[in-house]
Amino acid sequence: MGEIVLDAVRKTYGKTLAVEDLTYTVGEGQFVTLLGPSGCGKSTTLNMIAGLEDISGGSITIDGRRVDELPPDKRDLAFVFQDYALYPHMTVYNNMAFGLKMRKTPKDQIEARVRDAARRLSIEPFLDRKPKELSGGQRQRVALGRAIARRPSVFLFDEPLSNLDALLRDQTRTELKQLHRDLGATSVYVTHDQEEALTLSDRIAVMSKGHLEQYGSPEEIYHHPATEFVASFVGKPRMNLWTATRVADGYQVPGTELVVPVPRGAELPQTVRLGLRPDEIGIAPDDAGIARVRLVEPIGNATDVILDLGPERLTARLTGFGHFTVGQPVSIDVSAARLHLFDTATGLRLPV
Amino acid sequence: MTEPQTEPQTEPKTLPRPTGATPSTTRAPRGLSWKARRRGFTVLHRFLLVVAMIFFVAPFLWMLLYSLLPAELLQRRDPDLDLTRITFSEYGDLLTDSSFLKPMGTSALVALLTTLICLALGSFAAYGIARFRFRGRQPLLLAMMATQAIPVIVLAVPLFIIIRGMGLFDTPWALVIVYTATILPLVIWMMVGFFEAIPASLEKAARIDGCNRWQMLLRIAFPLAATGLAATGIFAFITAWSDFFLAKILTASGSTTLPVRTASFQGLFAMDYTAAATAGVITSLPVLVLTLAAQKWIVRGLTEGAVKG
Repeated sequence: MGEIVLDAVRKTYGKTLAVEDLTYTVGEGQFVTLLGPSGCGKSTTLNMIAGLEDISGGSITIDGRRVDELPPDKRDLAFVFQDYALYPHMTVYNNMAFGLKMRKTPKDQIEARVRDAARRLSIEPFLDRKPKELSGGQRQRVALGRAIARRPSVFLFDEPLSNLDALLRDQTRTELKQLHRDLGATSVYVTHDQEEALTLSDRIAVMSKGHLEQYGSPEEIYHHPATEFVASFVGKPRMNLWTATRVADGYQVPGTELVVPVPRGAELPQTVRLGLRPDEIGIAPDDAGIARVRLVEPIGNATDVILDLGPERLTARLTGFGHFTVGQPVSIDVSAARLHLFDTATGLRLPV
Repeated sequence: MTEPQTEPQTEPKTLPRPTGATPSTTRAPRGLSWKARRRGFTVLHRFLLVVAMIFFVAPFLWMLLYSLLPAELLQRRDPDLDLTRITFSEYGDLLTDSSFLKPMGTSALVALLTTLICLALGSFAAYGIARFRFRGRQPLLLAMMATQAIPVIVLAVPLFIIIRGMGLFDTPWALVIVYTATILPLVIWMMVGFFEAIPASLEKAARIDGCNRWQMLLRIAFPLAATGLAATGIFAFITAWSDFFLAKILTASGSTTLPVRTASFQGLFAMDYTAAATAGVITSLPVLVLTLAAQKWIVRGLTEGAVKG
């Protein structure tokens, strides 16, 4: 239950195009994240699936049923809002029961479902309270509980964790994943936080400026970014990206002595955008090294070392506390790094 | 603050919080310390509040005294506030006098009807203005404010002619119509603020939960704006209830209101002070009670309405 098919979905506001030509399928029971910077159209897409905004073209189908002409409540979905959107004048219980009451669910069934949802989220002690008597984290749970009590075939989340502080956010993220495994309902989740997207999702739809950059599993997104945008947006620290030119046995970053070898026989253009993940680059102290340490940023389990590489910069991530000092010359080892090449004009991935 | 470090034993009294502003002033030779100045402002603030209170409350208390004590005690050169002679006889007289009870009924009817109509029309109009973006929305709001800038006295004669032409002169309906017309724009203006304060995501949630526009209005928007609506209602009631000028012009003996009737105790040659004061107290009592009951809401309502737009 809950397969969502988007086919050429478009949204325009007057003459401005907000979302163009979205086509993809959210599989039954999958957790799919719409990831992108603010203004990329991800929330608009979610609102269109929910029916809170009309679509300007294309079609949306849920379980084979065309829904884009249906009002939100006829689409069998629940929505968790960023600001929780709890009804301030109702108790927690009534907040959770409201959607069921509106659907004329029998009273005993409402009671059972609300209790069940409250138990799953450990908010049973608060059922008689008003939202304003709860902490942010508790309100967040009530918002989740309201969705769960409805037992819809699709859950929609609009940045539900962004109002929580960091610690609580990580904890809730884990719980969300657990909940999704327990409930198995199709979920579409909007976030600008790539870490959330990678941890939670079966599939990620990376969006930018209203169009879909890539739709794939977290692994595909991370290791085979389809465009330069995806490569630079996903991954922390950001992927090193340079414009590089073809030399005899690989690509060289101009102005530097860094040459990245490419497999023999590959048909490749003269100049490309070249990308290397910081965590796949090795560095070692070397008086004859081609780079110098510019900054060292330890974060506990890893250390980001930012290097001056001629006129360019390179970031490498090492495990543990690396013992580098600023100004120290180092050599760079890219033999273990996956090579990401992108077309300079289109930004599309080039097969290596 | 100077620190009595050299003689910690002998000066422990400076450590507890000083009771007045004087200690700091004597100790800080280069002008007042920030703390002392703040305390000074607080004192000044309180003092001004007391003055303002006396200014507003004293006349009312004087009226209350007049209504309770025989006039001859108060009209002496040296008023005799003999509280043992307090009597409610004038209240008894007025509240059994049909020539007083009728205006009272008219006032209540007119004020209540005006309030209800203003609330019913105003809440829907305000909701529409707050929630929908349509052409002319801003001009509409401005126009409503602009109507308030027209002095009533300018409208008095035209209104009189219109009302007489409608055959409604000296009827409660004339007052209800005119009051609604003057109060409704303000009511809408205030209410728009209340509805705009309701987050849009709540209505989205309600739509997902299965509410149509009506249900959204009745189950979400109105309950959430309830305190604001109540405050606005009280505001409308008080305004309609206390109007003197329009009632004086648009009614005669047939459906006069309390303020007009109260003023009529002032005769051409004589004045029944006790009766006038008693009527005054009775007239202002509902206003007083409602204002006290709803002062928090009213202040919020007025300011919220004021900053929007």
